Amino acid sequence: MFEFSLGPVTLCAPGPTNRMDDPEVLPPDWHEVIGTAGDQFRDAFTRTCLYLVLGAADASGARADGGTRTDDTVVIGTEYGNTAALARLQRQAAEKGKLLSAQYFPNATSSSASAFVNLRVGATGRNMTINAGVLTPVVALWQALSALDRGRSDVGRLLVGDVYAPEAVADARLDTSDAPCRDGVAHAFLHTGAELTAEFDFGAADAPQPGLTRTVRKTAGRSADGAAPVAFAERNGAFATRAFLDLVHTLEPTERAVLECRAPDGRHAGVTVTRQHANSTDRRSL
Amino acid sequence: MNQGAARVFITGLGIISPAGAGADPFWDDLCAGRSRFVELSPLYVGMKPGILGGRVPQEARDIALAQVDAVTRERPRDASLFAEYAALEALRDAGLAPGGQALRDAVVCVGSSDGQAEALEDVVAGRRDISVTGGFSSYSIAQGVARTVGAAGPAYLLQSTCASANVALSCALEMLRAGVADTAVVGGCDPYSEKNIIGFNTLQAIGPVPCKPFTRSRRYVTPSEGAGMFVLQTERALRPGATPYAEVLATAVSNDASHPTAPDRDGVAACHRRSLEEAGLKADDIDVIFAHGTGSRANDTIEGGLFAEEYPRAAVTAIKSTIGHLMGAAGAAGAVAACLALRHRLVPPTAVDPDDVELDLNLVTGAPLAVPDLRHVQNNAFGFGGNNAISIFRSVS
Repeated sequence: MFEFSLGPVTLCAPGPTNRMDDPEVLPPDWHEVIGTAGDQFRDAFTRTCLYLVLGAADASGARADGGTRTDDTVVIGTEYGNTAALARLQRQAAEKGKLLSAQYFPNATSSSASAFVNLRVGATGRNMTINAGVLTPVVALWQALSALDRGRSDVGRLLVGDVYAPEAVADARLDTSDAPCRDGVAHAFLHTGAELTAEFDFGAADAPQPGLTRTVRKTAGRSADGAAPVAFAERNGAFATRAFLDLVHTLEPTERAVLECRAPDGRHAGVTVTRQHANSTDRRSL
Repeated sequence: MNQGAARVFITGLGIISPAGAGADPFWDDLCAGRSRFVELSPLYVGMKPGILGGRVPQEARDIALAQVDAVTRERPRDASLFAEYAALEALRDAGLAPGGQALRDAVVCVGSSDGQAEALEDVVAGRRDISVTGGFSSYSIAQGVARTVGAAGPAYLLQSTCASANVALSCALEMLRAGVADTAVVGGCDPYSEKNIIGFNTLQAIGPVPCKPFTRSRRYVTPSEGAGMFVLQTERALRPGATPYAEVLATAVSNDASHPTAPDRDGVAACHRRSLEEAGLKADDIDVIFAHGTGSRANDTIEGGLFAEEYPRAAVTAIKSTIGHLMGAAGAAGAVAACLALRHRLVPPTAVDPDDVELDLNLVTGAPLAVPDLRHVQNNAFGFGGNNAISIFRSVS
């Protein structure tokens, strides 16, 4: 069990990847926040992660990108991450040959988003890009909270989600053909504290089950009674993550929020967050 | 810093590399300083011929293919083939059987930078339909290892460029110390990746001369492929009479937050300090360091400088001179080598000319170095994006 406090939670779901250069689908402050430098090399996933971390203010009101170095932990949970940049590097090499710019490569690793997030916010603590399939939101949250619990960082930045390249959509359909691939990334600040506790559960069914399941629900005390679970049909874990963390913000003392994820291979993971004390921080999600 | 209560040990090893399938040929090549680099075919117009790389030989692939399960045999992807073979070897080495009780709730955590590279690359190039490839989601690597070993606990893949395997070890260690499970199957894998070769070529970081870590004449990284996996077990999960290779004291993970590709001395030094702090040791306690030692100007200048200044007592070796740079699996190869060094009390050499060594570095060259009192071994892995991860192992005998 981990103790922690939850800061602001945000979601960026600007629209289909192939319209990411269309001002109509982008947040109005998109270019103001992340700039345009390097846009020919960095992909939509990296840009979305940067928009979230640079645009978000933490509980103290401090804005990122101030050049200050911290020991913050950065955990990115994603299934397809920087696939678009990887594919673009390969295509550009075929097209441009020896004229290919060396600037493509740093933007086209499987953890480029993490690299540029750490670089831009000056986070020198633990950092990792995690893919646990459908269970990614729970595993990523576990690792982020573990870093706080072990005293490795006072602040964790959790990013969960995907901005799908066409190849990623095709890949996702191999095992969840009915699940829509909607672009979006959720971001949350996690702090050391004792307002909330998180208990995790991991396991696997004896047999695979078709499709994926992610649900979010609220319970009162130890009772299973509470509101009916809200199910999320998307392949992308960003939306369930955002809804779950929003729900955590609304909890009264002893109330619980539960996120459960079940994958087509039968593996499942869940996290139950209980509010211990009244929230001293702004509960609003942004 | 709260490290958690459980002591964690490495009880089994497995590896597939350019040396072949298994820990024995790997150790033989390391101790002999024998490399098996081959010339890589140019991948695009303008890429020069003659660039050297390490490839897993066909004989080793055939051995691996004969051992993995039907799902992987039907549509083999290199990363899965390598990781599942190495995991099975590690299980046998630990005296465990796939699906056994000890593995029922086991954590599976695999580090990889390029994942199922050839599947994505074939789709992008229009060579194969995605349904034929089996898919390129990196999670499928961890999923396949979990299926192979019969583990129902958390299974996930870590991507932190060339530090991936050490980060995976760190994440699994956290889970065992937190009580999520008592056993983990962990390591790293990376296949040959066109994208990676193209990228390194644009940086002019690969070439026709093999990597020569810590030498004055060093110039190139030699890309390679393979997988290293190991079994981690808490003290209470150890079989009676078991003799683990090592106790894992620490795996520190940090980021330079400085530059997308170039390492930062302060950031690398900070990771060294964190690993020592986490292990409860001083630099003088470290007997042997398996360096990241890529043979690049930037990495070796920073890493070698730190060794010379902060670790004057430690013997240093860089196995990439022999097996090449296994990318996301580099830390796993280093960890396997570190465990074998602890078992044999022997440090394999860096395959370079001793007269060419730069800095006042205690670099092991020529014959393997016998260290009868070997106690603490450090294993470094760093990567693009400022990723740093350092493990420290302790002898259990």
